[in-house]
Amino acid sequence: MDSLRKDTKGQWIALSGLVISLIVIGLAALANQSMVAGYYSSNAVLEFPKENIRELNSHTRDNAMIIRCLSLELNSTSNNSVPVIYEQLFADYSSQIETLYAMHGETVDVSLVSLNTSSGTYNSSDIDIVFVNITYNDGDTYYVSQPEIIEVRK
Amino acid sequence: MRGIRENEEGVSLVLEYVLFSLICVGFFMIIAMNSDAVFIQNPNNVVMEREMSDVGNMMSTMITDMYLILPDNGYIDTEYRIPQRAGREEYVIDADIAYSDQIIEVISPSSGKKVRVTIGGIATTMPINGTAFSSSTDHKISYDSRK
Amino acid sequence: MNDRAQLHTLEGLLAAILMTLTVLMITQSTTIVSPQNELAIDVQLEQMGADTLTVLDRASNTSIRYNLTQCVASWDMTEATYPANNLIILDSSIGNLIPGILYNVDLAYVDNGDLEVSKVIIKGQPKENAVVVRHFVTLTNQTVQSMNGSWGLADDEIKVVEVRMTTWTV
Repeated sequence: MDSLRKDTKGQWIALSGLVISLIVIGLAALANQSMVAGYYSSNAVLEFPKENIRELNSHTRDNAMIIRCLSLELNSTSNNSVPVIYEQLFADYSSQIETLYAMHGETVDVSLVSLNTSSGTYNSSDIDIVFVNITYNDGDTYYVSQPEIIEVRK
Repeated sequence: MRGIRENEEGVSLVLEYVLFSLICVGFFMIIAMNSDAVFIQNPNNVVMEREMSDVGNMMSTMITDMYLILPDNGYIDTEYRIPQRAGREEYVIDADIAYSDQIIEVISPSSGKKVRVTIGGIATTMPINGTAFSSSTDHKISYDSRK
Repeated sequence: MNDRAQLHTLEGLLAAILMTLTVLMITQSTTIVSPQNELAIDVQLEQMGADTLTVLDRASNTSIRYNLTQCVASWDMTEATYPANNLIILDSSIGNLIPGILYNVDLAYVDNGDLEVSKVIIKGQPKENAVVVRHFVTLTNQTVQSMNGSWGLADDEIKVVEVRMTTWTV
């Protein structure tokens, strides 16, 4: 009993207690930094199909112009009138884009509503505005633009 | 009897015992009285602060993203998912003051804790209103150009 | 009087205070919010990838040599096999815009009602936090002919091609 009372060799144990507490502080600081903060705000950006909708829209706009050029060109060698060729090409475009979006689990619908000309004759300078209906649906987000008004004369 | 009185070895042991007990009792009382605040309330506040500002930032981000792709003639709606509780409390997302103050508030009705997130002037060009309760099942933001 | 016990008591008290302070410090500290988690990096990658394709698509011929449509039009319809890429003009343009980021590029298109997906640029196996961005281009026979591609389109045909880029960091 006496030897136990006079024994003062516990320094290492006390010191190890200090070391362990310091390690615990460090670990806690690390664990706090890697917490899940910012999950919902980041996830919302990733899940919201902003780029997909924007791309559908802007590509349809580009296409309306490409198709206009092509249909005016084809009109010189074809018996069909410009609106007929335009409608055929546009239907071709919408079926392709619908398939490409469907591959990613998104339903889109792009359909031509009307071609508008200022004079009623469909020659190269007259088709100015095209009306297109665009819908997009990925289960969470539903987007409708009816009609999207596209200026095709540049 | 005399031997015990003159023997001082036991006194230090008893004194040590008393001192040690007193300190232990004091320590225990302090811990018991503050344990709820220290171990439950403070971590909860930290977690709530973070989760509520996370949710607020999410709303602000979604509204900004939607604003960027709004159709001229059309309609857009989007569903979103938020946690039912922030920390241990339910909360409300309040966008009704967005028009005047350009902010969205995330409020916990039970403790009154409030986090505000700015929406950068969008509300002046696109009216924003509505409230959402975290405990309801469906959450949706919608915009209709024809209304 | 033996006063050694007091020293031990003080030691015990000090240890208790140290532990209490540690617990207090950890629970009360308002922790530093670090947005550099995995999802935030994904958001950045997505934004940079989408911007890269948009820049390539919209750029005028004076700022870059070939835009995205022209790059895709020049494709020789053969799939890439690692490590050889077969859309070198597109590869160098993307590489200039997002240095330090790895990417694979696939082209997806509808051929006779069937969906075709072909790899054209392969930089390796994507990591688990890879992000996919996509962009669409429309080809006509005119653009294909001017770029000497081998899409073999008819004059009255348009071909919508999805340029799908998988980006990741190491």
